[in-house]
Amino acid sequence: MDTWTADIWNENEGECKKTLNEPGNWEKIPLLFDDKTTLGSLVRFKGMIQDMLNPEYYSSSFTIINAENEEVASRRAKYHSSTQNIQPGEEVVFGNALMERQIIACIPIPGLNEWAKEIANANQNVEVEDNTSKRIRLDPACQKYSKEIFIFVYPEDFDTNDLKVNQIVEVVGFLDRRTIQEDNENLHEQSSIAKETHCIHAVQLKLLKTLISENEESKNLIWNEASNIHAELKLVLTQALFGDSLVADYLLFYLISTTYNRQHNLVPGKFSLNIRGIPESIDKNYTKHLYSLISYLVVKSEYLPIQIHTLNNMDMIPRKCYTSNRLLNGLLQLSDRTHLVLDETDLQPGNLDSKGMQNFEALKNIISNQQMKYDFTYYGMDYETQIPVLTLSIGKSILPYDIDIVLKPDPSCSNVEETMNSVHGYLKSQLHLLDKLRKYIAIISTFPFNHDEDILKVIEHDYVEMRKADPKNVSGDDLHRFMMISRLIALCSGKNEFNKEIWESGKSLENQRNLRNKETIH
Amino acid sequence: MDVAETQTGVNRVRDQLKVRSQKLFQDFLEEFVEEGCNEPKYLESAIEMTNSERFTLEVSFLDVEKFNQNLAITILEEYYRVYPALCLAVGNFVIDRTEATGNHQDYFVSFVDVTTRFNVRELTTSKIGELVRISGQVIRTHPIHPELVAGHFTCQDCQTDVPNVEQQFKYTQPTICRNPVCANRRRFSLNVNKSRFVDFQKIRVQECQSELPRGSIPRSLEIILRNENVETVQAGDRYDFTGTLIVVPDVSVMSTPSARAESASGQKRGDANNEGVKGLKCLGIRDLNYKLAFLACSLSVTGSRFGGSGEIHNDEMTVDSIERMKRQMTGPQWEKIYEMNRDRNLYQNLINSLFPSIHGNDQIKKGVLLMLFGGVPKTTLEGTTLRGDINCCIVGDPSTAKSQLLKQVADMCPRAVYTSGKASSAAGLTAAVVRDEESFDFVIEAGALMLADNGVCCIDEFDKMDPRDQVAIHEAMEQQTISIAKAGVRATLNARTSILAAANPINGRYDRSKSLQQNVSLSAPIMSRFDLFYVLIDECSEVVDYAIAKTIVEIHSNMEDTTETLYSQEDILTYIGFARQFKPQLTVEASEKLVNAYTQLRQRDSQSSTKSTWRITVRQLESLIRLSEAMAKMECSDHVTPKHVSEAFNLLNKSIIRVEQPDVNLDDDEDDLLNEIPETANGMDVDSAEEPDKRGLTKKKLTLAFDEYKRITNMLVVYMRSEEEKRIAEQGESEDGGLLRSGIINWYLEQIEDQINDESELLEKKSFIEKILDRLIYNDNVLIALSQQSKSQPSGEEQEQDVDEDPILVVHPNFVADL
Repeated sequence: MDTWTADIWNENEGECKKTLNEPGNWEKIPLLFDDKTTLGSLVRFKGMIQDMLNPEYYSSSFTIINAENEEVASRRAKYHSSTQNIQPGEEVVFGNALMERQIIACIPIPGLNEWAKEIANANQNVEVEDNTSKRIRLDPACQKYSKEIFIFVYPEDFDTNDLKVNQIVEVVGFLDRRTIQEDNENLHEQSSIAKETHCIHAVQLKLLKTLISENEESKNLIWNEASNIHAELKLVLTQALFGDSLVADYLLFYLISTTYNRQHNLVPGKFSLNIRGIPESIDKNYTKHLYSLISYLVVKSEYLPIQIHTLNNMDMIPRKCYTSNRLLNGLLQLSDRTHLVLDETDLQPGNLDSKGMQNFEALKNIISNQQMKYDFTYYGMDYETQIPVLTLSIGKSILPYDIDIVLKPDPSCSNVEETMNSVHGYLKSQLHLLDKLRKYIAIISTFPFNHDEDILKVIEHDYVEMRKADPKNVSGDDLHRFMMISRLIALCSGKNEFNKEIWESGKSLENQRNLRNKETIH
Repeated sequence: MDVAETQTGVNRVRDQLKVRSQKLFQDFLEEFVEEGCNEPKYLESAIEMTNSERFTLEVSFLDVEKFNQNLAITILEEYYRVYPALCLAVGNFVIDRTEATGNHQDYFVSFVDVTTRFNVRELTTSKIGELVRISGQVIRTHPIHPELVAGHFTCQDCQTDVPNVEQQFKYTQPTICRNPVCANRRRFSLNVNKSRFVDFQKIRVQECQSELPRGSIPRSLEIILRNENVETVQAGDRYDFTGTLIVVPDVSVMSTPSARAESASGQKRGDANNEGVKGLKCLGIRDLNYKLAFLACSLSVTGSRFGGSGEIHNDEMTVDSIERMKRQMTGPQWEKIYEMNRDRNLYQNLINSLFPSIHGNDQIKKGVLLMLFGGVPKTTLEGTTLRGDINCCIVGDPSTAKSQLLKQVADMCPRAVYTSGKASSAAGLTAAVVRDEESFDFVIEAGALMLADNGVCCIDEFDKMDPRDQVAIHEAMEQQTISIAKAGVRATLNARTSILAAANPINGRYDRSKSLQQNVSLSAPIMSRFDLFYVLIDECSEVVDYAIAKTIVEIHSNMEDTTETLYSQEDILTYIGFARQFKPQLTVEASEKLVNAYTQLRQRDSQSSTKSTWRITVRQLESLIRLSEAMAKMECSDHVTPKHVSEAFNLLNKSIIRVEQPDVNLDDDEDDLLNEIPETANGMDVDSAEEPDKRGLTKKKLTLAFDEYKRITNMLVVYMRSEEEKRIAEQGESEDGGLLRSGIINWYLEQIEDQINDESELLEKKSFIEKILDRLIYNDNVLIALSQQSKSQPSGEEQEQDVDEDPILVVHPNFVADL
């Protein structure tokens, strides 16, 4: 496969496709991660769709006529962006049929944690062996692994309507290098070479839901062992939270939660958690330690200190720039299930300017609606997000939340550094367990969940009774929460449906939390 | 020169299609006569055009279709190919029929009213060269340049002139000198004075928000404007462009004749780069990429879907705009609208389809629906504008789906703003993060509010809004403008917006024992600007709870949207957009009905209130008119009929009833409707214009209007207090400072002596005052009955059966009489 070129693919498409999709072969395609890869060779790339450019058109075929010996060679233009090596005396005649190809701009997955990257790179090292014979083309403009890569998607190969912004894609295609400019107004002012970027002519494209390999066997393993893993994970989290097992439960839910529906502005399954009462007395770096633990467990995460100057200065919202006609990336342009941790512990009073205000609104919008308005200057456009948000604060959070809980640390553990190091140390010593925990967090809530009619009736009835008992403090929001928590409790321990016990334990957990929160108000 | 003459015309293949089209089009211009006219329709425009020194003749494509179907099809399908021929035909026509002088080639044709419209996303290669109409939002405009359309070259070798070298988006020199003996292919100089130039402007449009598939990034397209079209668009506006797609190479292409050869179908690809030759990128490598651009021949402001800018043209004839709407719609869309219009149950179906996830509350949904349709804005002879927008306010307990309703409206309407009063989204204004003194929690202080002109502004937590912003809203609601004073500059902006506000009651929950005014911290002037006011009370009813539980459980357990709606949201929006174009007028009968309804309201109002503060004001009449108009619009009717008025009257009535204090029912134990809970007189603001009492006075003798009840209460309280004070002054002690119940009754009867004519009336009044006292004691806790046995227990409940006794009554110490 490593000798394949676009021309070979064009001629033997069916055969090539078959070979590529044979088990194991897909992974053998070298991942593109630096610029040493030869242009024109088959590469693999994983990234997030950051922008979708205007489509481009090309003549599907062209003919090269050699004026000297009258030779006529017909070529297909698919997977090429230019004709190469035209000799003097040769003339190119373009065909009439114009074909379309979509251009998507991909960036390395934002928030991808080190350990997840290492896994990807480990694969790579095994594969890179015998391409010494190939000419290596070094380009000064691209010393490091390029930040952005353009992918040409051919509608006849892949339904481009399925592509949405912020999706994670894995693509196999032929590497190319050229200028992509959306607005060619200022082209002549710049050297076009400097603007050249890598691009891939996609032959196959996959939309990835999780970055963890999704083979059935390992999935089943996790599912069957779910309650054990759950216990282990809770233990780890409890320790990191200074022995507070109630908060550990909720933090665990936060880590595994996924939204599972979206209807009429409601997003069941969204789980934005506010852990407050982070004691000021203990180490200032506690929140950072906690984040580093989270990032050690989840595939993608992002840490954002909520401070006046970060809010006022950071580009969080993606913005369309009409000069370059591109969407400029914002910090909050994140793919689904990127755990966002907001640290409010260092917040000081101050003034938010208009940008700060917009950033603040964007955060609020993500938390309460799982939506984000991208700035298109003349209007804002809503995009759906799926970003679980955890806010860490001393008092009540300035931002909205679905669920809040007060941390009650065990007074006996006071040394943050020590506690957190021991947690890390424990995880590092148990690599097998760590691997399981990570997989568990990544996939446990994606298992299908069934709802039995009978238990749903019980729930409905229960709610009405609760309302009767205390109409002032029970509302539909509580039912939403109960449903969500119960579902998470069930999934946590590897059950895929409700039963009465789970429903009750969900309610009792919520009651404990409410009690805890009430206690601490005084 | 002469040597060159022989050369012209040789080697040129005449395009038969072009020739035929030119002839037909010229015939069309000469012969097309509109019904009822004698003159050819376009002669007049041609004369006008030459008089005003314009060169582009605007032709309605519908006329071409009427004149010759074949010609129309040819133009549609082969637009780019026949365009020069059509322009030539215009040139001939103008020069033949008017006094205009000049070159035939100076004239252009532009088509309007092309029926089918495409989105930017729908433009594919198959549309290249066809005449299409697209719509988009202008995002960027470039400066105007002169564009060379026909170059006049001079051969540098033999000085032969080469006139009229057609230019196609790039600088094109003659391929060879016209002089047969001169072999010059390269060295030409352009004679600027003899060449022809046109104005040329490039703009970029982007896909409209509403047409974008979810999760996609809008696409954009470069549009080329020429001649009179330049400088007519502004960035940010939405326009329809008519013209054709052309292909331009993405980056520089080596200029080889073969690359630009005309294709077999005869369509001339808009070849080469419009930027001019950029030089070789790399020898031996040729790019294969093209981009599409759009060559526009005419443009117009996009007609409004709902929330569009269409309503700016108030003076425009409605028929025109309706026709325009119709033309912009696709066939199925139009059919759907027709079908919806004929739906007898449209009102109910619309509200069901619009808010499927919100249970019950039909009245509110109706109000919101009518708000979307809106009334008809009017301008009086003096030039004062009367708003047509309907404003709506919902006050209610937490978690009664207020926010959800607001969010849904905001989500649905393209030009809606959703904002929260607490931290409204500030456009260019600042907000402060402050630390709460008591709890040390951080809170954010409100910024200012952004209003969408011609849209809906949904304001959640309206009561928490900064008073300054409330003032701005105040202005926006009635004057439809908003004033901004910033950095010494005072600007008044248009804000023709409907306001849908939601407010929470003061103490978190709606206290039924208090008036609306006391429940919401909104000033009376602001309240009076809402056409409809609703109170949502979190009822604890099993039926409702079950329904809510079911909805929530379903949302959690079903992945698919199970709520079935008759109409899709898209359909409803199109329908609303269409229906909003109507400007219904009041019929005579409807006016009469309106007058009746209004006087009815007013009369009840004045009857029920002894104090002559009137509550039904002209504002309510205006609301009534607006609501009636909205009803008529909903049915796409040109006239407001009595039927519409009565429905509007119902709605207004119901909206106010929820707010007003209903009659006090003195007959005990009669469970009335949930919302008709009597109010105490506890400090009701008498100046408020918001509590019109129009339930009609006593149907039963023992119900009395709230105001009357309040008046009597106040009378009693004042009397009792003054007696108490007297005694304290006399005796210096207040512990036994109450009055006997019988004493109070007697005093009251003395007071109304002059109203009593005979004994039966006396008895009636006596039982009447007794009932009032009972009510004041047991229901409203204004008076406290101190039983003589246990003076230390001032509890009304203990006394419940002690009506036969004659307890001492004292005024509740916390009660504040409102005078």
